[in-house]
Amino acid sequence: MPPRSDLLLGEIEDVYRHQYRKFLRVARAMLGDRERARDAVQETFARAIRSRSVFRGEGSLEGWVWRMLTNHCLDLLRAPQPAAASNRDVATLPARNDHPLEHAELRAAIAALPEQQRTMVFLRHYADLDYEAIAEVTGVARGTVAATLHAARASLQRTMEGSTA
Amino acid sequence: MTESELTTALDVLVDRCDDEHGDWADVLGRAGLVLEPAAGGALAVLPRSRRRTTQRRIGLVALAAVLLGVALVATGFARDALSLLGRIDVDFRSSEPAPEVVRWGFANLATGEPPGFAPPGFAPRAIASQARTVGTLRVDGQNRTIWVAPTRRGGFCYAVEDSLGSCAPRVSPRALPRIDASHDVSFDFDPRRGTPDAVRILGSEGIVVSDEVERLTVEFADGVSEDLDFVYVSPPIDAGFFAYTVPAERRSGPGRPRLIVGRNRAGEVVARQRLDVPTVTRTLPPRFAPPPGRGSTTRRIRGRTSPLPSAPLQRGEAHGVSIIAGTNGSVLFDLRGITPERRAMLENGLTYACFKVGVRHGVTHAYRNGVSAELQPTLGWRFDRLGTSLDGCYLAGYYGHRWPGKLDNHHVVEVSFTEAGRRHFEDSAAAFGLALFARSPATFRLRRQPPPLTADELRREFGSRIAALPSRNALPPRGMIGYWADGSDVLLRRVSSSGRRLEIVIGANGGVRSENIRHLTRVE
Repeated sequence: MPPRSDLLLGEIEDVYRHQYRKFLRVARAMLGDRERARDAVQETFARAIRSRSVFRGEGSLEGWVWRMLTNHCLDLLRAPQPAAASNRDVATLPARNDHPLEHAELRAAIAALPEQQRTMVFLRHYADLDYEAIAEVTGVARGTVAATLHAARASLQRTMEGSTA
Repeated sequence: MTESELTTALDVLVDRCDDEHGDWADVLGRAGLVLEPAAGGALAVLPRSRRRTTQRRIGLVALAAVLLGVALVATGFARDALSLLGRIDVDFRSSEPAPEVVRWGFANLATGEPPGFAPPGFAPRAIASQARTVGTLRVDGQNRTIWVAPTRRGGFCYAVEDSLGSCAPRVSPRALPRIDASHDVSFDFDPRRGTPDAVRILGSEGIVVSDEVERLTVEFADGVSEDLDFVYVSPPIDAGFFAYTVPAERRSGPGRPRLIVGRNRAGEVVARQRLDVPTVTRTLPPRFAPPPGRGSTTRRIRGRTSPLPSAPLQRGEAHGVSIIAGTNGSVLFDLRGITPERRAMLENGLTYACFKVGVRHGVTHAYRNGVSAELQPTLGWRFDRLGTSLDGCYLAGYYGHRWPGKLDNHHVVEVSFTEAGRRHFEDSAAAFGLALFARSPATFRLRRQPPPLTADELRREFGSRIAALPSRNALPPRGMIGYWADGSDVLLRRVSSSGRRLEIVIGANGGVRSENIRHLTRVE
């Protein structure tokens, strides 16, 4: 029987290979830049490998890595940025002119969401995580996830209706 | 805003990163681990500090293997020794890890990527990190490597180099020994011949699900039998793998293969698999020659044969064209009753194609496969890698496609087997029309010259097919293309008859800034 750390390494590799684009998509949405997102995902998985011995298996391995990624992205957003970089709203700005203007309102509305709501919206819609998984990643109860996403949707709806009125 | 509306809106915003593939070696490097070449070209993960020692160890193993190989060849027993073995037992745990590219292949089985690699929705959850190289099989006279990976559900997936692969569910320990070659028997079918010889068995690949099977034999209809080599892999795979290429003189007639039989150590038959040959019940007429001077740019598939569609069959008909598709991917196109006007649209050459609709990264996607050929009354063709059930097939003509396009941008003949197929035809035609309009020379002024055109200008320039939209989010009437501009962007939108909203946004420089139609049409 291979050592547990080797088994975990294999499982982390499987999460990476199966879910890489989802991780990248969420990181891209949170950080607003594909290059930074790519680096964040690589670093997250490297950290997961380095600290796999502390993974106690109380939740899913994938959820554990998701939590590491969102925390890492939030740390990056909170860290002081070079002058050329943008503010925290960079999370929802397009990297280049790759989106139509008609979605600027939605983008701005997402940027205006509280941090937890925004993260949950990204996890729900860009990573297809269900409420249970989001609860595991964010460390809150399932009901809190449902309420937070409901509040986020209501907020987005108000903003969008206001902009089209 | 409902969840689905939010999903739709967010889908447009997201950078889907579909062109990204990750770099596992980089992750390992950041984590202080390195990928080292192991014996057989595979890769092993090692801590950096163990690098030098292990390089030496691998070198010794490789050298030993080379020396052993040289010794076997020198004594003339290399291949013969293997053949005598019949069953070759392989320990899964101690087998070499599969190469990186194969691991990605197993991982991608869940996502259906690259297109055609696996049928849409096929998600066996193979554990890619545990994929192993377990041996070789002789296929078409060549040694091909076998790779296997366990699945999270307790089964396994396997792939044969340059050939097929498959997945199998977990087998109960109480299950009877089984040989499964039913989906991997390859046939050759000549639709111009109605005799039994029209169908030939070319070979078979399959699995043996029982540790009890010690000997595998192919039995021919004339009583002759031949032992097969097979590779048996220990748990968690716990299955054997074989491949057999039927000799040319035994592919049909009284000497054709009839059974594959598995025997236990005592020589008792414990499993058997019939190699059934489909029966041809009628003779199809010979192909006719194309009109002189026509179709010079297309391939003529003279004399090509294809397997008979296997049951259950999917059937459909449109404009006098009948299409029959089998679960083995073989499709028969019968154009003998095609209506004259549709036939005229195909006489410069055509594409015979089929597709399967699936979901890729949350977006509906049609996996297509087609063959270009000249018009002929019947054509049988095997569309590999589209899965076992198709959503539709079509004939596309080479008559030049310009906006507004013939047949409202539908293909010359479209046969949908499912509702998903019908919707795809509608969406695809609407998307194609929109793309043709967007790239039409007639739209150059529209694309490059803001300020926006007025409704009168639109009507004068493009007739009644284009409608000015009152707002950016407004929808055009069915069948019409909506136009909206704000001085920098031009938005073109069309709603398919399936209800799907299709659009292109053109920036001030005339370039496409965003669109959601590329996956529905090949227009760039």
